[in-house]
Amino acid sequence: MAAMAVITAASIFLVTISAGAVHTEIALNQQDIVQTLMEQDLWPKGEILTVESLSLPSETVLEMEGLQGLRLSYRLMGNQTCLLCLGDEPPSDVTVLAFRAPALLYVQGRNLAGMVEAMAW
Amino acid sequence: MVIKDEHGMAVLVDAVLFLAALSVISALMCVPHPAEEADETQAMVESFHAVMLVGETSGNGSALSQTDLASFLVLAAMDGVMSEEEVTHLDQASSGTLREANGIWRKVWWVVCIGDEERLFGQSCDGREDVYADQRSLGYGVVCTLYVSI
Repeated sequence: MAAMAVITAASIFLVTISAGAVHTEIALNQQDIVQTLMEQDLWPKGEILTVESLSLPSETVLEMEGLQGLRLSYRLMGNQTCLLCLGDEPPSDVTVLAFRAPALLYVQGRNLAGMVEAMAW
Repeated sequence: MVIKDEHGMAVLVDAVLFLAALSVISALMCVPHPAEEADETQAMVESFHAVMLVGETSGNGSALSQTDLASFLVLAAMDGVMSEEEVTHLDQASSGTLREANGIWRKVWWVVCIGDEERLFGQSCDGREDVYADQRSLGYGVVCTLYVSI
């Protein structure tokens, strides 16, 4: 009886921990989001991103499992001023996954080093 | 009076050992591996350096400002030495990337070698930190390396 009690209690504990980890991965999988954004030409993949022509196809991006919202920001390296922001600010009561990547941005006829930042929730 | 249930104790010990092993395996699977983090850092450094080199150098309207940084370095290497004007231009051209990278890593510096001449931009570390680097040979004796310390 004691052995069964220990096994049951420990199993419940482990399953609870694992379920939390799995849920987080499904809800906020950075690689999946990046892959989808690359397919939409919103994330750098070795090519120039023309800032003026970017727009967020919200239906496609938000169809991803567990993703409630997404915000993308494009700016120049070392400059916090956003050249283009797509999507709404995340609500204050959600956990946000933020990630970024350097990108070559085509801005007003020039190829400039920039950054793309994403916030997903 | 104490009754010893040896079979029950053996099962209990087996169960505890099994759960301990399971916990260790689960922990190993959940905890991010240092090697993966190092790979990600190295990839990020390479990405920063690649974008830095293909970006145009500055917006002052001159013909040189419309060349990408890699081409500017090659042009600067044509006469074998870097003039102070070229160094100033490189300083301005690299400042954005170095400033951006400084917000991510502890220290960031960029070293340009043209022939025997070496110039350092940014602030190097004291050697007691882990350093990641991406080095590119651009031809004409130009070698540039972006270093970050974490």
